[in-house]
Amino acid sequence: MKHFRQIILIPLFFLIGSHTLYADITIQEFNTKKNIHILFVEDQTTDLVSVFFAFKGTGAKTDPTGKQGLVNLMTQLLMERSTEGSDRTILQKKLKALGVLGGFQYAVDRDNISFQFKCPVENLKLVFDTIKVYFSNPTFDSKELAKMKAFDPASSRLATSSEQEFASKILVQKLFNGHPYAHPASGTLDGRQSVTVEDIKDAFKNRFAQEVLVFSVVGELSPKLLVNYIEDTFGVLPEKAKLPKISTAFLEPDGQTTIIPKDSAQSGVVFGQKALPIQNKDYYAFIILNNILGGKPFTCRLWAEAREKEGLVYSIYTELLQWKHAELLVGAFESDNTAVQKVIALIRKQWEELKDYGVSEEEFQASKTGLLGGYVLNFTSPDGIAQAVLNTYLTDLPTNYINEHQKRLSDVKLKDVNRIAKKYLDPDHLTFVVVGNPP
Amino acid sequence: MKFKHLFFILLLLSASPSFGKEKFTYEAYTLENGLQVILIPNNRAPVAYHALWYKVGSADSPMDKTGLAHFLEHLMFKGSLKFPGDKFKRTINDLGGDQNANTTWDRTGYFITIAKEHLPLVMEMEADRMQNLLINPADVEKEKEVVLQERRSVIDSKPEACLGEAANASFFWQHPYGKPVIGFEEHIRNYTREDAIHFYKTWYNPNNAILVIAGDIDIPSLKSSIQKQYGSINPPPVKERNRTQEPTHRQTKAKVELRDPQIGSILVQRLYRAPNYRTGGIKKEAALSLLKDILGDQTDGRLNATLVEKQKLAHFAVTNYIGYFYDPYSFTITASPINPSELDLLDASIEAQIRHLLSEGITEQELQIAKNLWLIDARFRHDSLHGIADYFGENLSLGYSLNDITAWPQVMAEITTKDITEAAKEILESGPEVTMIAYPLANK
Repeated sequence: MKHFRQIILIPLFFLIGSHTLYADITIQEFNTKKNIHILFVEDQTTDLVSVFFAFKGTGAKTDPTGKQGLVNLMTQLLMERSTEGSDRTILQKKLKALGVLGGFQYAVDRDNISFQFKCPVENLKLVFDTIKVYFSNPTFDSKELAKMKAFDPASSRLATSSEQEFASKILVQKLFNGHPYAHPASGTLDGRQSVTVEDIKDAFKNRFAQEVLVFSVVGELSPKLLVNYIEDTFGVLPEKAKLPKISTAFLEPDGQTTIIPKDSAQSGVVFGQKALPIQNKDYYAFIILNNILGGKPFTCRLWAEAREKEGLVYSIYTELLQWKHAELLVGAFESDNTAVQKVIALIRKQWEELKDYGVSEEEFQASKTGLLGGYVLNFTSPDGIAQAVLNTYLTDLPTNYINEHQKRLSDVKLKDVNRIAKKYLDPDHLTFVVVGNPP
Repeated sequence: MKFKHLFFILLLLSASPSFGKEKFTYEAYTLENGLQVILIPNNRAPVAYHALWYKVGSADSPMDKTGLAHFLEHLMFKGSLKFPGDKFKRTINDLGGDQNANTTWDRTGYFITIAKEHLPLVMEMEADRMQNLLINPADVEKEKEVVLQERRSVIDSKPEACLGEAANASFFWQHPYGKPVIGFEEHIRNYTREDAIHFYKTWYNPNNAILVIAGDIDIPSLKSSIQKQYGSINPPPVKERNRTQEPTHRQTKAKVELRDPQIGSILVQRLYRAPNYRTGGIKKEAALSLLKDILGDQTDGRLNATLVEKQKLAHFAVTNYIGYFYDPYSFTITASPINPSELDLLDASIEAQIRHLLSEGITEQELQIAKNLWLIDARFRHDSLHGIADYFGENLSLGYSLNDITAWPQVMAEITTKDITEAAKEILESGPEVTMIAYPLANK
């Protein structure tokens, strides 16, 4: 009887915390003879296989000066443009018939070139055989290149991008002025115009190499077979990559509000300051701080002030961006033109309040238990697992980091969060870019 | 809290070749108060997915208060008797759950994904806001502003969305599908608290809802939790949907255009009236679904093969067919010319392809490719926690029966080339009723 009463007296959040099931993903690792790195998670609840892979460190940051957009053009040409003997449309149809319904997807970001596909597990070998054609001695067609060079994406122009898209572009330009991160992954119009077929051929040789290739695969299959398929498909690539050295970005946010006039129904606003690298011992406290500030939907400070209290925005958020050579705390919102200055003032106020007074015990506990409890939600699908495992590797974290994440979060104390709020929140250098028509 | 007996249907689906390698089972039953329940175990992660689908949507809003169903969706997050104010949202957030909701013309869904041990609490919360929503006047006014901003974000600031809204209005003279799901700005401004309360009481009842729970669940204990939380609710009789039906447009054709600097390239869409599963039958819906792929699949469709690959007239040429809405909707053909001055040529080419299909029909090979895609697509549904759960939940909330859903693969397997050509003739022969064109402002 007494024992039962004692259990009831323990605060609810503690009970919930102790019941949270920890992530327990078993990751098998392999290296091929020429150093392709393979991460494999066996999943017997699916008859599809999720395959994610990336060429690490080969992204848009490696574009030579004056040729911003080279990596993007190269990858686009590789994946989409037909050349003599390897019609991309035929390859796409083949993949579709093999059950790659989502297509063979690719993305070029500032740091890496990534690919992914999902297919019925029984067709995996045939899918790899088809993919091999993309990477085997591609010929890059100058006529196709010319067509692509002329294409200026709508998202990069003030007139045709969304307000928030364009504001993001300008903020990044301001923050990283002079560093390769300043230009978008798609490059610049001038940069793309100067790219030649020779540039692309060189870029391909230097970037698509086995030693920078990493795979993250989830499904029910023999890892031995997987390794064979991968070696067979990518064995044709050179072993060594040749990449320029990229320096750490030195950010100097000026704390100003820049307004770019656009005649639109709403304003898009983006804001940011420096953050901490994930390897820093205070990073987990920063995760909790960001969650309280603008990461947690419905109940974070910014949502509570700008949406719940004032009804001025539909969505507002902050997030931590981890790139290889820089870290940012950024946020965004959209609002009626007349509300912009009010919302910006609200945001600046929250920055100062958190720096000066920190967060409350209640906020801290709610955020922590929320982050702890929500972590397992990332692993409900094979794609989710594959992506998380790949991201861990691309961020240079140890493989088992995924399974240690909750413990690290759990170890953070309220005083840690308030200490780093005081140390790292920087209202004087919180920089805003507005695209719209505020009065 | 009274129940005489629980009418109980147990349905265990065993491995069937039409679903591919069967990786799941499910149970379906109905509570005495009419709540339809589907339970789908999946133990990939220690997580549960709770989805509540109400069989009501924006098309059931009063005609002078368009979008009311969507507004109510917003108010559903503003507090109920046991979880007032922001306690509902905070509770889910504090437990690390993911909460979301979604309104379309025909149904409103509320979705919570959460670590499995919190499922009983989630049910208590959903049952409470099903019956005891608190709608306070200050929240009503504030939320109107939020919805207006949402409208600005997703429609007013996006020219293609504005154009789509106008095209729908031309396609539906009377039927509420011609009104935006989010509602018109003027109507949103005029919502009252009484409007919301009346709508809520009318439609948000267990006999007008479907509960789907998937994930790491223990069915016997879950069933008793469901009975405890939802079984005691005594609903009024079900309100039948009552939409003004669309009159015949006879021979009239409409063209809806928009020129805007934010539009990147010319886009043209043809809208054809098409039957849905209720007016045309499930077999016709299956035939038109296959027609959609054969004619306009982005990779394998005829339009792509001719207009894009062979003739190099279009960036893309695709079709869409929605036969699963509660009332009939449309079959569309959408394309973008590579050369703006070749718009007429593109148009003529599409016409020619349609004529060709209607006179020559389709081949067995095309049919097999299209059918194969649907089979593989069914396997992709099982890959996420909510995929198969939403498949059941959404279709049931749109008015399909469980039988319809399980019979679909077989219906599709039996469609013949003749079925498809006949269905195509019926909807494509007399041309599109509405054509929608988006132009960039400066002609490049």
